[in-house]
Amino acid sequence: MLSILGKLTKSQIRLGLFFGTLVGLAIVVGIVSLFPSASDQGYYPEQPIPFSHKLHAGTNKIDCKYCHVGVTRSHHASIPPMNVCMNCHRVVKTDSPHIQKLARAYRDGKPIEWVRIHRLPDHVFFNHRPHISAGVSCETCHGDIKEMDRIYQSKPLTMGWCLNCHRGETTPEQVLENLGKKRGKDGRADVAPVNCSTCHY
Amino acid sequence: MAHQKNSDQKKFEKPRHWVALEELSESYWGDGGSQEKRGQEFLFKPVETIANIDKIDSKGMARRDFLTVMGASMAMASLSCARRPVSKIIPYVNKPEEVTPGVPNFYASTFVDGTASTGILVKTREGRPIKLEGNPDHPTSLGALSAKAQGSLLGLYDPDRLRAPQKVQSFRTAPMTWSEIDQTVVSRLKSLAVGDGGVRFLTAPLVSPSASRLTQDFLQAFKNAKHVEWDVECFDDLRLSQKDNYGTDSIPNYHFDRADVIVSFGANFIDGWLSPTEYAKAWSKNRKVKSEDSAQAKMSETYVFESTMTPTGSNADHRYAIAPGDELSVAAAVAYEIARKAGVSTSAFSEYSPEAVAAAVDGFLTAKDIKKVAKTLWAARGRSLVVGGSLNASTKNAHALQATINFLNSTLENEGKTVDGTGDVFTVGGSSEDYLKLKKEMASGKVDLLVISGLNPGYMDPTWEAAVAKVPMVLVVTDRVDETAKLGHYVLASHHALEAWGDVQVRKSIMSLVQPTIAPLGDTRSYEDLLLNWASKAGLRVGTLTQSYLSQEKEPTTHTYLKYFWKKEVYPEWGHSEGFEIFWENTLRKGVANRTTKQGVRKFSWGRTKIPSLKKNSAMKLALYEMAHYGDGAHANNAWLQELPDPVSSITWDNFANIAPSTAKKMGIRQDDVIEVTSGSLRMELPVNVQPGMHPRTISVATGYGRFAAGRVGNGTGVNVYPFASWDEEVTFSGREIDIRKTGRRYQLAAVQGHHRTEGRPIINDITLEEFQNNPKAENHTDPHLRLKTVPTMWTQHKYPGYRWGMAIDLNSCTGCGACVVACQAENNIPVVGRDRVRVGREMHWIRVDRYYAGSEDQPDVVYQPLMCQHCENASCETVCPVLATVHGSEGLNEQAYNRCVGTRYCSNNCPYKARRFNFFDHWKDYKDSMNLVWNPDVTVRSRGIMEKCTFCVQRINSAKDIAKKDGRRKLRDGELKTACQQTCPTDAITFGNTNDANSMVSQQKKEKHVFHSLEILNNLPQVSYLTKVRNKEEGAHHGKH
Repeated sequence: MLSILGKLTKSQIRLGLFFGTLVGLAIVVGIVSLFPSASDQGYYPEQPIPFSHKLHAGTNKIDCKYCHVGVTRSHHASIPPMNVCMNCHRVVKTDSPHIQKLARAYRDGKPIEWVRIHRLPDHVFFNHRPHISAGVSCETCHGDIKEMDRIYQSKPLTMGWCLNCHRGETTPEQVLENLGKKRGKDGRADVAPVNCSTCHY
Repeated sequence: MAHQKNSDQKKFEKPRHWVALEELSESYWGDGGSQEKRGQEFLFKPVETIANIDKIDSKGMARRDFLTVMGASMAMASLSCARRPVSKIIPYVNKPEEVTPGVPNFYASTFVDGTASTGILVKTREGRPIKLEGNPDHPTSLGALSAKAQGSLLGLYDPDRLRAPQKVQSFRTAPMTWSEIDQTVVSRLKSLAVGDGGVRFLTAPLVSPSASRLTQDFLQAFKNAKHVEWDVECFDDLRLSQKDNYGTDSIPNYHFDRADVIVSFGANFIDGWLSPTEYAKAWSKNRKVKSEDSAQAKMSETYVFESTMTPTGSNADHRYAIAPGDELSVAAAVAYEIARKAGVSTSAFSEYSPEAVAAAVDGFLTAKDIKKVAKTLWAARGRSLVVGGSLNASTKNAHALQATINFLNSTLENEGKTVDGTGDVFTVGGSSEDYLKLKKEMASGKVDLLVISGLNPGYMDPTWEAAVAKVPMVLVVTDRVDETAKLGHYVLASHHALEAWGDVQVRKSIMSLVQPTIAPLGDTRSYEDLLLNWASKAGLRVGTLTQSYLSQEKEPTTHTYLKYFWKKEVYPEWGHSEGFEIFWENTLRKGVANRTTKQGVRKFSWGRTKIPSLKKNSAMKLALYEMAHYGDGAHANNAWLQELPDPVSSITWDNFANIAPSTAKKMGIRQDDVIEVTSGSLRMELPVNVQPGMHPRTISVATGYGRFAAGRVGNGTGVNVYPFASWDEEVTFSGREIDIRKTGRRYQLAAVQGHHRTEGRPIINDITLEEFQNNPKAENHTDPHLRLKTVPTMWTQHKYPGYRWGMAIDLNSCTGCGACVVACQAENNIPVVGRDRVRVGREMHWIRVDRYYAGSEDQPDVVYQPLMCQHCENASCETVCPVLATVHGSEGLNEQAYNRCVGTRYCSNNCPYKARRFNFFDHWKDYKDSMNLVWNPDVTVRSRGIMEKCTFCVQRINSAKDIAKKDGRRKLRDGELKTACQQTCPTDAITFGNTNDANSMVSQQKKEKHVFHSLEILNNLPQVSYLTKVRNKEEGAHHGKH
């Protein structure tokens, strides 16, 4: 080995090391990129009906909880049952083909199959209710829904991202105030439990 | 403990507590070779080769699916590059008002199981039942639930249940439609209604008043019709002796909580006799002792004479092994003594002096023992209770035994006090005499139509096939093509109890409702549906009530009939003039309606009873018994119940012959040897369990096994022993004279105890009542050199600012019944692993009930210890995990993060309690089809390569805290939160709560002086405390002298 190295000039060795490192990095990056990211941030799928949150929640200012009733009671915010859509759309915009599709599905008893965007892994048990009662706004985790025509995942929803808020680092000021917590010198506060079993069981 | 002491003492001393018989031999502790063997992963190498195991399992569930595993790893390798799959959210079209996705609903209903029927609360999520709990408002449950009832949930999702009615032709079945069946049956019924053809209904004793009335009314349409109620365990000997001796034709109710002295002749009242959940609770009430003022501590005293080791016997203070049939001899000897003391004539049992009986029953019982029982009973007149009977006491002497027991209870003035024979009596019927008559009628061709419901005589009764072959039309109402269905003509697929409407009356004072909590999974009909439908379609002239119902209802259903029946028959008697609709709604919500009954005193007379003369036996006898959780085999296809270990032997998935150690030694039989049992032309082969505490002349075997048409799980487990019962002039189950012979073959029974050894370290504690009264402090009764001294620690102590969860388990209350194990399994998505994996110690139960023997192998004492993760303060698992998958939480929980776990199993190796379980396979894949509906959505379903263990039901903790917050409370109320094991425990042995709160129940329990911690010398500081087992017996003093 040494004898081979001996025949090369210093710059050749340097060049070799440089490219070798590059190739090595490329391999590592390549392998890592083969695996899916832990986050689905930016996921932006088509929905069976182009329902616009911008129109409903933004322009018309319908409260989120009018449709997502589970959010104050349950783990799940829940997608509204179709009878909730039909509360309004029996009379509103019945000439739209999309609404007609909705009405037809409702009449046939065949629910619309929405594409799920915000999805945590199966081993995470996220509970909406305590977050809402602590005053965490929907936008904190779901982004500026009122401006979205088609919903996308705007936040990473990774464990580190969750923990930053639970530890008080990124907690919205309003929530800290509601809970009567103050940040310490390390920029953290005991906002919510960070045990494994808080979410994993 | 023994061998450690032996290093400095030469003489071998048997260990105080032992698990297996070999621990009583010196070589086990002394021999270096066996010590090395004990150090190995598998203490016992599987006797059979894998091929042999596979051969057995191929009859059962297909578990060893290597291809699936291989396929899964291939799929994982290739799929890891793909983007996550698109998942859909499908909302309700019209959301039912009461359903919020993610929030469970509870419905009150009833678990239907003869006299053991009990109130339940069904927890449903998004319209599917996922857990059963005891109904606190129901008097026979009071919040508790038995293992069998817990397990019945899985039966709902059994993929082998019929989805449509079937037609049977030469043992094969083909699906039919209901309208085809209705047509055939209706035309048959029409022709039978005009002629005088024999119509017979054979059902299990109907506990439903509405179904009972409907059957009566239906049969009124025929001239020659009869309803026969029977079951293997219908307690007709008990009921008929009441009629004989007191003139009351019903089974009395017994008050175990009012008795200071209890004597049982074979009755397994803690676990399987009459109303066991209720009786276990009542019995345990008088057994809870407090160390405060311990000198005054009192406990009831229990004597049990039985021919097989049952939970009742193993929990008794004094237990005597006898041969089946000798229950009468001992009872008569006790009666002889009592009669003398009471100055009553002893002529009925003049031969049965204690001396004569002690000589006749041989074994371990002396005349002194019998006299002592009589003396104790006599001293506790009016506060004592004598009970008897069960399958293992069902011999030719059964009626005389019951009469003697009645005599005893009357002479001891228990009548009207601990025995209630006139007020709140059981209302179920059932008669084996009627059953035998029916069989004769069938064989002689007098039956033209036979309807069978809730009963499987084709499996139990070996003479059934010949009799039923003569019946031209046999309709079997059942949920699967079972043995009886195969011998019938039409199989009428029926609902599971969780899919059906109904009502249950167990006793005079209790009336409860059964309500459906899920729409039927298949195209099935209930028994009531069928009768109503046929009566209406055939235009039968049925009894008045049903007739008037049918005349106003065009489309009869069980629901509307039930409501009609309740309006006409139940409300007038049980309502309080609140209006029927309100009464109905209230009863439905609460699950039960109650009324008071008056308890009176009856006068005893011998009636027709003759006490047979005393016989001395020398032959080997066979005793049959039911394992309480498994029963008569109706639940054979239930994997949860199959894998729940028998409390005493800890064996799963098979039945076996229990043999006394002395007999086994004499015959050269070892554990797991296969023996041949013969009696005349009958013959069977069984693996042996050498069971301490058996009579030397008795073999006992559990019933309900050896089914061939139970389903994929239940087929081919164990051996059918019902043919060894007597089915001719009288139906009796035990007492047959048998011969046994070694076959030379071996069969490894799948026992769970013995997978881990205590190595002589004291893991449990038991003392006598006297010792407790003198000094209850636990450390006075353990080896001093094994007690924990304060040890300096290198760890920083954990801080618990909010809650700190802890548990206390009262070993004095634990009966070993195993209800907690099944409850935990249902709550925490614990998979079933199958027989061969249990053999190598890979069962997954998070909580197990360990059984320890103490004392001699002939008459051992037994201690049961429920053991789960101890949530140690200094947890040895936490320090060895290389990936921090198991860590300590801020509320004292030892937490396991499944997704961090890489499966090194270091934690399990380092856990001194062996409370951790490893997923060697993807067990969830064995949950086929509808079985997947049983998963609890609040708990992760674990996959291969993951370690898991008890979480103290953290999902319940989180949800209870959430509810408290929602209600605006900062702290949980004590007792508001219950773990699954605690919730179901019939004897309230388990207490759970916040130990930071000094006033909580668990803190109070932990303050008791007789609290100890398992293996406390290791300084693990477990958060589970045990309360010392206390026995109400004089001798003892095995310890505390060191």
